[in-house]
Amino acid sequence: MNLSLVYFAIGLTFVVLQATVLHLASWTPIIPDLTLVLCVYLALNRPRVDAVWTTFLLGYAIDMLSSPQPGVNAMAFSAVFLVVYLAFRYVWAKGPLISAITVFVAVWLKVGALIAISPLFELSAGNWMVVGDAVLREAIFSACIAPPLFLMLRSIQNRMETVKKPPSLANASS
Amino acid sequence: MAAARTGKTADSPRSSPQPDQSRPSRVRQVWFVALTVLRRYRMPIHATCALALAFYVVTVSSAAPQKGDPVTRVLAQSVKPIQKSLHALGSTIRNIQINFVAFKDLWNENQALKEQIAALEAERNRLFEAKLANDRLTELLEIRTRILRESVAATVISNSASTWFRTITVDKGAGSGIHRGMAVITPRGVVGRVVSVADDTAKVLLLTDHKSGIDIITQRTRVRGIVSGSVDGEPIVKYMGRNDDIRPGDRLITSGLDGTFPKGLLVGTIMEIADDGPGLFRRVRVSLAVDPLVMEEVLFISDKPRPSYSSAPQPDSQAAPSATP
Repeated sequence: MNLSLVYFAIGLTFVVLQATVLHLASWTPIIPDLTLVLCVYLALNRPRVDAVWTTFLLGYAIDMLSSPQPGVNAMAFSAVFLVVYLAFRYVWAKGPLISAITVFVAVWLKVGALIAISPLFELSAGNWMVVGDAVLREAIFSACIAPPLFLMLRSIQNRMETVKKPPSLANASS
Repeated sequence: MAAARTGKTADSPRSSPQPDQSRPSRVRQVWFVALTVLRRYRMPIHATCALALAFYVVTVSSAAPQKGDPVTRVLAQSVKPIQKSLHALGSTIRNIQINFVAFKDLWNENQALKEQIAALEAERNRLFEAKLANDRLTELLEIRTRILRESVAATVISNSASTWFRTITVDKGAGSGIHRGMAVITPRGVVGRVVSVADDTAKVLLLTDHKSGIDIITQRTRVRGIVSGSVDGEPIVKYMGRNDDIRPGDRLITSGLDGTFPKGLLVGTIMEIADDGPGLFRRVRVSLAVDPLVMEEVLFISDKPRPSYSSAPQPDSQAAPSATP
């Protein structure tokens, strides 16, 4: 539970970063979705109920900060979590490339869910190319940033779980 | 688990039928199975619940956008301070960004304007130089049309490299019709004469050189003399008698008697007269009309008349307006 709170705090930090600093760092209006990377990480590496609701709340936080319609990001994030949990956690290969590919697919899933849910995305045929280009760039940015972020999150998780272990267990494992 | 196990033994077909006990045990069994399923599939179930909740929020907020869904209302109230803080933080960062971008734009604009100013300054300087050259050449052309002899304009390309010889070199030579002994003037007055000629260059001995000499008369009283240079660089007038009517400020013009310079060209003005020396003549210092160090274009005057005027020569004195007071 403590770890979930930590992840939730990290997620909120990511939301703030996305709303502020990343706009400065990025040379295009497209910014990498750090929060989604975190949700993918949770779905892959922490398949627990609190991770589900952490994902939901993070999506909802994005809704409250930036979405004109509450719930769409929460739903999209939950859908991404569900799909990644059901599909990608059975991919036994692990590594930076796999995480990047997973995040790349997750961004497309998220935008697909958003388009499916929100009436804001009632686009004419000509705009699909623009949307596709934007999604591609966001997916590439997010995929590029995913491996180091996964490393960071995993190190946090390892540290927290080591702290949680009783001394006898820690000694036994070492 | 214990209850379920108990129920299972109670439902055994071998045991005697007990309708009162079989119903609770079946309920327990169903409950056990349900719990097992729930426990086993709790992740997808929770995720589906989250999806459903999100869908509910979307639906409610779409149906009554002015009110919002109850979850949103409650959460919005609770996170309002955080949201305000984040918004303030975001606004601050955005303002910093805007100011930074504005500063960067201003800096770039400043650099561009500086470069533009430098370019314009260079252009202005070039145009000013062109205007000055144009003025000088116009003056030269004007005097060239007034002088009734053949003339060639040239540009000074170097000054003397020695302290003891005061000469200049020009960019035209024998190929342009320049020959030794030609008079050299500017619109302001006499410069000197040609002492050596190459194909493309010519060397002019200036009036300030101690070997030079030019026959002059004072414009006011028509007293004759010879203007010559000196080693110290201050030209003097030789052969002016003690009884000659001269005074400082008198203008000296070419006499035209040496056959080189046309009559009436301004040479300089008397600066100082010294009567204290021995001998028949006074020592007269002259301020030359032309400063040889600032010349850029000069005019070479031949001793031959211009073809158009050769049939009806006119007095050279009319050709030197610069000598008129």
